[in-house]
Amino acid sequence: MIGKAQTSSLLALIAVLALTMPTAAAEDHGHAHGAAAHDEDHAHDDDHAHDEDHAHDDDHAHEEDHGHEEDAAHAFETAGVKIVHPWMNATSGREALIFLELENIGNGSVSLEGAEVPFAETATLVGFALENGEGRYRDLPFVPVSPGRTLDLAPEGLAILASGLTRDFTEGQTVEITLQTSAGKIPLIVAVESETARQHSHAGHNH
Amino acid sequence: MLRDLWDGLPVLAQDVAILLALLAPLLLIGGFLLRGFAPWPLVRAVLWRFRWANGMFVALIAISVGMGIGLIAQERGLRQGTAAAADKFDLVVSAPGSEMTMMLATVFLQPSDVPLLGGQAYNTVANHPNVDVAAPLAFGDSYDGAPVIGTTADFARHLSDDRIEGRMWQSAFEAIAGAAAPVGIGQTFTPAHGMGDEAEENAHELVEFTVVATMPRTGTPWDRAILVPVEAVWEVHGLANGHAPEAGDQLGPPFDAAYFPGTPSIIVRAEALWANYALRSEFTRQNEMMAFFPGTVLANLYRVMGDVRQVMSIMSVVTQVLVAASVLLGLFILTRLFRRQVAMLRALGAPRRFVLSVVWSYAASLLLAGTLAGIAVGVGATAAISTVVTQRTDILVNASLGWGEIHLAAAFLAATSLLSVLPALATLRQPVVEGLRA
Amino acid sequence: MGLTLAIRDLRVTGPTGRVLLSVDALDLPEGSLVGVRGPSGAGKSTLLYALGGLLPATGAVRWGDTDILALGEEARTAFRAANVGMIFQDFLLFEELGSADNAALAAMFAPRDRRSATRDAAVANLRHLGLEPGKRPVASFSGGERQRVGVARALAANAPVMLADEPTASLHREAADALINDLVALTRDQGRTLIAVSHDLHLLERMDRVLWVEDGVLRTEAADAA
Repeated sequence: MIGKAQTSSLLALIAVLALTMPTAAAEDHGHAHGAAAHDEDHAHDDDHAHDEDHAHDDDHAHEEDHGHEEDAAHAFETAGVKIVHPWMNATSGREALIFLELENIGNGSVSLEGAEVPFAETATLVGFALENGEGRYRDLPFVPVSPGRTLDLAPEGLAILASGLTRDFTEGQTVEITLQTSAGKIPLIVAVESETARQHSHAGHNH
Repeated sequence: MLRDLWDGLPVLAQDVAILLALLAPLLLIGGFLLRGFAPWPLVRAVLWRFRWANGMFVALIAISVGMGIGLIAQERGLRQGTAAAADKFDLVVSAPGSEMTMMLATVFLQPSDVPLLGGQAYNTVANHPNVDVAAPLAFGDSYDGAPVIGTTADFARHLSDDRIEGRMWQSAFEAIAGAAAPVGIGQTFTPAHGMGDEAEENAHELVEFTVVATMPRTGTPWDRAILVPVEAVWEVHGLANGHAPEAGDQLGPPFDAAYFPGTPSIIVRAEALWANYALRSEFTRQNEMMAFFPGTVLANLYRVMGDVRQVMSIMSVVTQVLVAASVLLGLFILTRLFRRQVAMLRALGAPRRFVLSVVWSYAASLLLAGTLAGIAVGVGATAAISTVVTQRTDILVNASLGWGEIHLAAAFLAATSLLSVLPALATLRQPVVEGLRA
Repeated sequence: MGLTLAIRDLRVTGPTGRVLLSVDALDLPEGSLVGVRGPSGAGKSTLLYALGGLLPATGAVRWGDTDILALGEEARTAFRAANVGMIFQDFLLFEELGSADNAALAAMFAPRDRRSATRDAAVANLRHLGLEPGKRPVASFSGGERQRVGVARALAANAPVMLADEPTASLHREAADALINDLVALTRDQGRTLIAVSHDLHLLERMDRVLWVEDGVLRTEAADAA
């Protein structure tokens, strides 16, 4: 999958490792030459076709996809904001990251600003960054979401960092928090997943 | 609560505390055994008597400890090097596909055949108010093994932290060379189509670029790259150059969607960290485009790398245990060789603790020497491997000694020194008179 | 400065239960120079080791006021450190160390305040025995020189009792005679008690008294048969 030119031991290693990872990848092709503007190689012409003229017409389709309102434990909705699959890892430590998907189903921009977490001393919106090869979560003031867009809070990305936890959490429990957004407060029930979980146990289902 | 106290400590204090805790049993045993005694001449005598076997023990320990340390140090070096290479790539927007493939193509210049984003998509990204730089990339050509990459002047400035030596390109066929590129200022070159063995040397015969600037070393694969205006790459391949004919010789944005041939990825830069996350949600559009953080992709990769390292670390720990066991066995055998001297010491009135202190100090000296040599071996091996990796990939990989390695070495030393009390005790089990008559 | 020796009903038994040595009664005044002779394997060395408290035994072996057999193992060791100097047939030196370190071996485990005294005594004894104290490994020494280092080591702790196991057996005649002179002089000067197991008639004839051990039995009456 990697170009033959200048193939190196390191990148070979990365490639091998990459193969072991679950990627939501499209097929890669085995040719070494680059992709830019090859007349003779237009397997992907279709992609350009999209570009023509289709401003926001997809956006409604999203809502229809996610129509499982009855599954109340995994989806929460207020004032044009829909929260899906809030979850955290089981922990007996002092900090926990809370993840979720925030869909803006209203007509105006909505900002995620933070959360009130009753079982923690502080709760802040944080974003992942690599610093010198080590992952760090840095404080963020807010993140705006345009209408029709989804904000993904996931490991090695955005998260709510709850610090100074007052109790332990075990898999299968649920805990209540309140999300703070520019559209108001949204009470949520967060599912506690296993210590090593990378996603909500219902992720992949549509809600 | 103790845990609050611990969590409240600075990281350095925690590391030092762990080190001291690991070394504590060693110091306690040493202190207990050696208190009031001065056995060093005897320890030196024994070290000298069995110098060849001792040298072998130290070498074995050094290699096994060095392997464990090298593994950790190398993984961290690769992690830091690859992460530093991704520093300039906060957010990448591309056509939907594999984030890993796109990251390898953009950050590590290992392009594969990937779908393209069109002009409409490019303008959506470039015109977003939170976007400061939106650079298209055009891969595919090379010169003398160095990738020739079409992009914008803004990206060249971003990549070099605005420290270009020479001047920015002013026409389509001027180029800026990376620090490790095979061309310098004033030289001209004709790019080949494709990369490496498959490169077609004569595809662009009539084209000639002149290098007008170089970029300082960044320690990334981009050091080998030669940057040219993206318009030139498109033109060389017989495509529209991103601008309407009436725009003349315009270089760089804005691009006209109708004349935009497509780009595999757009490097996006936003001033504020929060904006990156907003832009990611903004540009994640099903079947249209995707946006990802190379840092997040790398972090996922590091998790796998960390798992692999852990498996290898277990193997290296097993090796260390085996080496420690054989060294201890060797010490058992060697101590039998000086059982007469031990018996003599007892006959002369040396307390048991003194005999223990001699044998233990001897063993601990070997273990300490082996562990220290192991740290040197580990760092040395990492430095050597890192140099090769840096040469081959242009990713600057540094060898350094971290607390993890120091803790590993200290743990090995502490555990084996505790165990080396056993051969010392074994020497005392032999009756004195039998020893004297042996 | 020597110690008296009083033995009562001493029995040393081997692992199989056989009696290796039995001494019903023996009394020696302090400062005695006593030789022990007898056929090989008769129990001479066993007697010497028993006197040093190196063997498990029953009965009583009283050095001065101390019954060494009544002491535990570490107490016996401490008693030896303070009161007994031992000399071995094949010297048992640390070959890699010089004469000074070998002679001052006891300083390595002596209480801190006695270390320098022990070292000084070792140096003085080496000089007295005609050896220059130094760092040159004793591996390069002649047999006579080595045994003199052994004697200096035995004397260094200023012990009142000397136990010698065939001290001249590994030496040629001339060196043996020189060593005998030194050993006798050094013990007599300080009034030490010396018990020497030996076949060497030159040594035995310099002793005050000679004991005979045969078949594990000490015969005091055979004292002057030579």
